[in-house]
Amino acid sequence: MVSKRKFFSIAIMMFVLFFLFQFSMVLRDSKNTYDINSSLTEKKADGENQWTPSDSNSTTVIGADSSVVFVGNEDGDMGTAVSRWCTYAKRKLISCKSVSTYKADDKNLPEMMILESEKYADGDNLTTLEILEKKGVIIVFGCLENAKNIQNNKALMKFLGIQKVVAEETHLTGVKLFEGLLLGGEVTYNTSKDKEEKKRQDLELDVPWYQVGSGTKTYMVGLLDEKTGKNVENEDLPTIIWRNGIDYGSVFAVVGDYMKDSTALGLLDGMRAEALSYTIYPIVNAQNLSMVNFPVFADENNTEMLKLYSQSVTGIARDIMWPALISVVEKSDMKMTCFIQPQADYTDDIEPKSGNLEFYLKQMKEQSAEAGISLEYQKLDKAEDKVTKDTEFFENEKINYRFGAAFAKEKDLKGILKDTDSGLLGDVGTLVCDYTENQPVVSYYSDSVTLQTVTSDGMNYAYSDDIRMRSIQTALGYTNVMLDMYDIFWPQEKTDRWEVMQKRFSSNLLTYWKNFRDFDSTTLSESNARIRRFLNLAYSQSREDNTITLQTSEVGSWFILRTHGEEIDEIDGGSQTEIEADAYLICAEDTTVKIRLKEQELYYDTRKN
Amino acid sequence: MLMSTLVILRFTGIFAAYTGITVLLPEIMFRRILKGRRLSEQFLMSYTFGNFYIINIVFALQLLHISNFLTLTAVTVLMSILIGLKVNRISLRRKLAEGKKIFCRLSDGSLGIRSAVGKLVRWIADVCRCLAEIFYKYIVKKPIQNMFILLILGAMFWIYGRQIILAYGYRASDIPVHLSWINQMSRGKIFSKGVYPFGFHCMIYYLHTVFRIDTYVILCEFFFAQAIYLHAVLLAMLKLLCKTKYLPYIGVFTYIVGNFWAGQTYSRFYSTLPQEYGMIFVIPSVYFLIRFFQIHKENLKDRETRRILQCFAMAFSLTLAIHFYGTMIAGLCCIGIAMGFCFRFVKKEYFCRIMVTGILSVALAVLPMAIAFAGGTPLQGSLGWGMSVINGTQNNTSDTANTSSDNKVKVTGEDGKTVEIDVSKLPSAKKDETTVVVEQKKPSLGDRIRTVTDKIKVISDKIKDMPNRLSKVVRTMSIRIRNIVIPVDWQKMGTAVMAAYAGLLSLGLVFCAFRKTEYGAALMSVGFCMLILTVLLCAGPFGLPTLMDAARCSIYYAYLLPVAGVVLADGILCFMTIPQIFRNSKNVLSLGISVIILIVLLQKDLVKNPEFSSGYVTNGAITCLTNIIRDNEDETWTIVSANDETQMGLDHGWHYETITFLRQLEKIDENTKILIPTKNIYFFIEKIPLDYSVSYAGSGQSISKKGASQILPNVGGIRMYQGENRWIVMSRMYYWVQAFMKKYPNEMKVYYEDDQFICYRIPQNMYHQYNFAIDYGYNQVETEEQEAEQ
Repeated sequence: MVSKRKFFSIAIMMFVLFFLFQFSMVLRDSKNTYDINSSLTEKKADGENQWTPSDSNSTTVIGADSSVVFVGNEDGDMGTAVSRWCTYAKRKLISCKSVSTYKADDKNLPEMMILESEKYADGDNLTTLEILEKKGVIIVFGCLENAKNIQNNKALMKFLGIQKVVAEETHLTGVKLFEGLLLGGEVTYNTSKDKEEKKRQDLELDVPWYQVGSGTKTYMVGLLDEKTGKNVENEDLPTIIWRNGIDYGSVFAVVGDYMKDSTALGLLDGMRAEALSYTIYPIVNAQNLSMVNFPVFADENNTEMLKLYSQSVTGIARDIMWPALISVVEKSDMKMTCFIQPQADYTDDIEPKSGNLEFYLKQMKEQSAEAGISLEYQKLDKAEDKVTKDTEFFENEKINYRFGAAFAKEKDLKGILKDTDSGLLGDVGTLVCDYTENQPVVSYYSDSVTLQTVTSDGMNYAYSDDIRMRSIQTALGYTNVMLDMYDIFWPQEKTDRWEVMQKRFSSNLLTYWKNFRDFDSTTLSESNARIRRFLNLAYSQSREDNTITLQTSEVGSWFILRTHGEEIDEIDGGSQTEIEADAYLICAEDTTVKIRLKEQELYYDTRKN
Repeated sequence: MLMSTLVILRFTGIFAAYTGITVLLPEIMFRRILKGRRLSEQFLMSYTFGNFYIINIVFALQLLHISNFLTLTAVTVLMSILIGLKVNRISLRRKLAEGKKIFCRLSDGSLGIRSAVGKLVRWIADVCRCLAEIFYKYIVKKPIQNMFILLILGAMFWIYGRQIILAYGYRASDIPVHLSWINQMSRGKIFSKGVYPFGFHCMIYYLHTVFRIDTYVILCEFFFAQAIYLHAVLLAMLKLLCKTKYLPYIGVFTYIVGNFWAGQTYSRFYSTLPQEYGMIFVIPSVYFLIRFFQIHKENLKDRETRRILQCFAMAFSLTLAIHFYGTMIAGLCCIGIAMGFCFRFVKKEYFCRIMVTGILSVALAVLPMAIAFAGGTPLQGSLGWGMSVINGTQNNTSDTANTSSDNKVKVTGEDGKTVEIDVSKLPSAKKDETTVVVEQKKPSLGDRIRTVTDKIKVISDKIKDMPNRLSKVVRTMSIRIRNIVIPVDWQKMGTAVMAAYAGLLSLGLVFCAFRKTEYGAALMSVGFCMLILTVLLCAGPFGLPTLMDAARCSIYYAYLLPVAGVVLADGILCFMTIPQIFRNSKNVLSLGISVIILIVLLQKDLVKNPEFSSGYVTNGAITCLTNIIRDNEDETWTIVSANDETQMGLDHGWHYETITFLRQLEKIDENTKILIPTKNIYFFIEKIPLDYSVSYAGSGQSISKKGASQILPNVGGIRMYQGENRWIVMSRMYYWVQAFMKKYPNEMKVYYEDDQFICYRIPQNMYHQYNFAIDYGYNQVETEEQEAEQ
């Protein structure tokens, strides 16, 4: 028999336990301002202020000595890539059809001359290049195209540091990128025997075999298969990216198409860093994770989903996918931006379910994530219906969430722009589109809207994607990884299953991005603010003894400082984080930042005596 | 951290470790035996045993090929415990039982933690009390003597100690050789270059292995510990031999600071060398032998006699185990002591004991070497030479050296004229042989009688000439002492020293006559020792076999000379105070004399002012090496240098000879590859190259283009790094670095630079290494066309 007294004690204890467990949840729920987008910044038409090369006469911007000469087809892939890099690196671009058409002015020598291929360095042009190189101009051969021509031109071979052309074409099993040129450390892209891994290999593997001589520094080499490469020493492997040092100057050479897309951005910054005693350049500093077409609210394609998962679409999204996503995101320390797709097929009668939106918004708030809107759809009677119907849905949900980011396919971007002035998309300050080389990585799409292209697909990640990702990280400290859920809800192949995609996505995200955790994780609206600051800023820098003085037009802008063995001792007007050896992330908290580098000193020293 | 702070800390560590194992450990092990003895004797006994103990542990473990940190520590600790228990008559079983009992009581709770802590505290308090008593007895109660000790220590630091702080490198060219031998011991190879007295190496190896101090650091700094003990044993023996209190201190002080000693008599004390380490044990050998002869016949069967003889055996064996020359001096001193105590030496009881002990001590020292020799290890070069000196084959070698290649032999006639004879023309000469066989006719009886008569005449003439010859001998000795040992302006210095020896002998006889036989014999022993050493010093002029060159002999001679001086002064004071009324004034007089000598030394500017430098390694090089070892993981770096970093950094990284590097660069073509497969590569360059014991007309000049344009030295051994060759090598290396820097300005960086030295560092990608074969303007580069033409 339980006495009254004991019964009372047990009841009190149960009540206390109940209170302790529940009050925190109640408190958290009541304080969750889920319908406020805390990442959102006011939309401004500041695109007209963005930095352009013509600003180079400004006193705050680096002077004319920071021009870059591109020799080749300026409208070609490499020309476009170089032009975008110049915009990001705040350099004036001078494009020429040939070396001879460039009139060198000793007083205003370019910092760098990029040649589209070696064919621009024939005859007298090579002499001009040698003269420029001696004067301190960094020469970059963007793509060595014809091995035969190079072999026949001994002077060019010497200039490039090529000791021998072993073969005009050889087959590689992979490539090895050494640390130093790009951020992220050393990496080997070797074709694995594993089927899944084998699919990643998409690099250019049939290349000329150049053997470089003494005085060169190699950044990327090709790997040979076990039989071919049995007797080949590492130093004799086909060289893909290297530098030839001549009288304190540098000549860079690239074999393959690495300079013909966004990969060029980081490579060019890396080359500057390798050629100069130190470099400091602006970056965005934003790591984004875009969950496209998620969450969904309409139980479309339910038959298929029930067959595969024994759950409805909304059930899968809420009970299977969402917990798994949170787990991956927490492990990767990244912030999500979820692009909501209320429904995919607007022609069927299946309408989005109400009630789920509040749940997701609360969850996102707790995860510091942001909700964006996906402008993708499967079927639609009229293009305008999408926005109208989505607006209806959100109105019915009685939630006043202001969407700052929207996702659309690149082809649909132009049509969407007009909708961003008012209505559901009225607050959208940034558009996100899938990976494309037709658009810059980050740019102003209009004066008030920025465009952030996806840099990597989290599910289908190949080796070339990784090199590009590292390169963009090096140049901009920026990434935008996309996970498109559309294929999960509308599967076409066997691999379009959540368990398969989750495995791929989590392994890719946790493996390839782990070296970039020193950059800030942002939602796309936060990233939008940083991109605007980055694109608008002008900066200049100078060094006196061990002090680097950085002047920037934008407070809160970010920079990367790269040195050669020198470490930061003290920083005034900013803060710093070491990303990796010889690379520092600088935040300009003031318009003038003074960075003092440590005096080279030994732990045990005699000279203090 | 300042490098000087580091070297001081390192030296403190080395000195503490060495003192701990050679003085404190035996002091604890033998505390029952040592109790009641004078502190000096305690020190001599424990120090001798400590060194003997450690060296022989290393020998045993090395010969068994099981020597490492664990075995060395385990054997040292276990043996020490066992010996300590045995000597101090402590029952191990009882101690273990007591320990077990305490443990059981602690575990079952009958002994509380508080009680146990209380017991521990009481024990610590007892130890502290004991230490306080020792402090009171030896420090507080003897203020004047401690003042003198402080003075001596101060002088030691001033004269020798400063070298550690001012010049980090070593000052003897043969240290790298010893370093290499010790490094080989770490790899289980004792006697790596042949059988050699390895006592010194065993001790350094022990300090390196057990206390984890780099061998090169010990070899750069241990000399000061050696010097301290060298003077400490001298002071201890003088304290034991003298009857006055203060003269020993001033004697040692004078020896340390006096600027009248010839430079070579103390210059080697700045280097950690086996000879100087072995020298420490000459004094204990001498002391324990004198001490033995001072024992009365009726006490010979006592344990004390055995202990003294054991100590003598250990000390004498140490001299042989460490360095051959120390044994020579100790042996000659033993003869001198035997002469001083001849009245006891000739007695069977003494003679048998000392002979057996002597043979045993030699056997003890030779045993490890004999085992190795029997195992097929050949004698090391210098030991082979030593053996040839003993066997007398050394002279033969030099005789054959007189034979020139054209078969001519130099023959010195009675009149002193040298005549060359072509032995190939002699009838007995065979092809390619230089042996001269002269056949002699048998003399007739008349000739024989004539010869005998002539000989008698010669002998009688010699006897008549004896006084003249004696004075000539004394004069030669005096000149030799003044020229080689004490080169002062005062012409009569040598004569004064000789007179002092005569005084010692006479005074000894006087004391014997006064029935103070032991003291008198000790004085005579010192006198005889010094006379015998004087003969050794003058072996050349006397036409005797030169067992030891005069310069080397002078080191020992100068070291023992203060013994003679102090003992003589002590004898004179004792003699003066024989009358009862003066007996108590002995110490006052000795203090007075000491103070006067001190004042004279300081007032007359007789304090020496030695140079502090290393002609073999720059401070910069040692600083860099220390930092490189600290900054990098082991085996991940290479030093390209002309120094001895091969052996210095052997346990940590790699070394590339500068000359090898430059020779590889000398003639290159497009296919030449010079790779150095480590993550970091350091290039050591002397901006003002050292002479490395060979000076030349341009000594002290900076590296230059002129130097680099000279032909690269094509000589073997160390000669390419000596004199002008070093200047050329360094110049070449510097301009190679400059050329390489033009290609890799951001990679090749200055790691350290001072006025004399510069070090460059280049990190490299281990997967794709730099090819160091470049055209640097002073080498020959062949292009494909040139190759094709050839």
